Amino acid sequence: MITYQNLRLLSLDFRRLSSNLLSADSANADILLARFKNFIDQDEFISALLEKKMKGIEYNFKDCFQIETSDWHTISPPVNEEYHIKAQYDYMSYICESNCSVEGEAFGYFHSSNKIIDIIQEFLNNAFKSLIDYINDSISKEMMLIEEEQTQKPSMVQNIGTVNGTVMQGSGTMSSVNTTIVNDLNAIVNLINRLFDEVDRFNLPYEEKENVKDDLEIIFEQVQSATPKKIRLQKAINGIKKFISEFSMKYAISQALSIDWNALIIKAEAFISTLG
Amino acid sequence: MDEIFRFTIQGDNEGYVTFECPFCGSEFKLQAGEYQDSERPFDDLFCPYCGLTKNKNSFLSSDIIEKAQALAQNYIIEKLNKAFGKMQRSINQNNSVIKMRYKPLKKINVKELKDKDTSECIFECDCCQRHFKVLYYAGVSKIFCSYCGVDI
Repeated sequence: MITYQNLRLLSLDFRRLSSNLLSADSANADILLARFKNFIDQDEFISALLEKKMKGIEYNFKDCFQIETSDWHTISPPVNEEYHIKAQYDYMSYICESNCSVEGEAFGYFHSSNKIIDIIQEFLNNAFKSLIDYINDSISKEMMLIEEEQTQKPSMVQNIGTVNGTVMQGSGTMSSVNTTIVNDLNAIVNLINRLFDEVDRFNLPYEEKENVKDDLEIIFEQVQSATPKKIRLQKAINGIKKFISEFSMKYAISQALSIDWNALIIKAEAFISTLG
Repeated sequence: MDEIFRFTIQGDNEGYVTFECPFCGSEFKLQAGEYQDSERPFDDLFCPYCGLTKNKNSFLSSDIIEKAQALAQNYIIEKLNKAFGKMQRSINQNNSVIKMRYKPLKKINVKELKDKDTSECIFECDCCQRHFKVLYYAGVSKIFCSYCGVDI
């Protein structure tokens, strides 16, 4: 199974290669199409993806790309997406394996521009963009699934409460007892909702109120995000810490509220520690 | 002879300017300071939505291109008006049998570019630490850094 890291690299390579193909000119269009075809054939993830999509489908690409007419060539995509993917793949194979060139094919279709580069790029975009989109989206979806799996695991156990350890120095053995506390994200969300309401009641300058609300919003968004960002969370917590130290005494924020602020900081920091 | 036209684009309240993907047509915003940072030059941009990449000039929005074209058109109009005005004065001198009438061309309106505040989220790339603004729903789509292309 492909790893997350390999998918990221594959995504970047594929996007670069497909962008180059869609931006091709008459000098490099053939080589870029051949390079693109080799890449999708040789990469295990993409070739398996396409094989699965096109398995058992009998469809003549010339029904989609009507190239055997005496008039302008036309593209008439089938409704079924699988058929369309197969037609695009087969047409690409046809151009790469036969003697025809991308430029020659492009000129067969109706074009309004009088620049060769525009005609080629319009052809490549009309003919192969949906295949590129399909592969690109499939890579992204796979990455999202892996991300979701990775973020679900640590969210179950988020905080190490106590650690009692004994180390026997001479024999070299070590034993430890960990007590884990299941941290409820709802507690953070509830605290933020409560504090958000309270901020408006404080006798604070408008700018300070907005700053602390921004920090609360960031924490709110990040703890609920599938991919929480450690740096953003830490910045928001630092902002809240600064707010408490500067304003709790100055504007006589009640003791009860101060407890809520501190509880939020502790819980949010515990959440950060689970992000690795 | 090459002529260079310079104009400014006012960003939104956070200094972000709109760009447009040449592949998917989506709009996104980049911080003006980072985009123009001469210490960190770049040639290509990535679309944060589709992830495809092209030369950074290809990402200029249609408003920017429209404004540049309007400025160039006005420049030509000004030159033509000047040249034909001069010709008219020269032909219509005293005792001249041939007369010339010339109606100066009107310049087209050039609008000021100002980005409005929109509801996109600001993202910082973990890889290059630069920023971009996009519409994003966690877990629903993937987005990519506009400068280095890595997924966020």
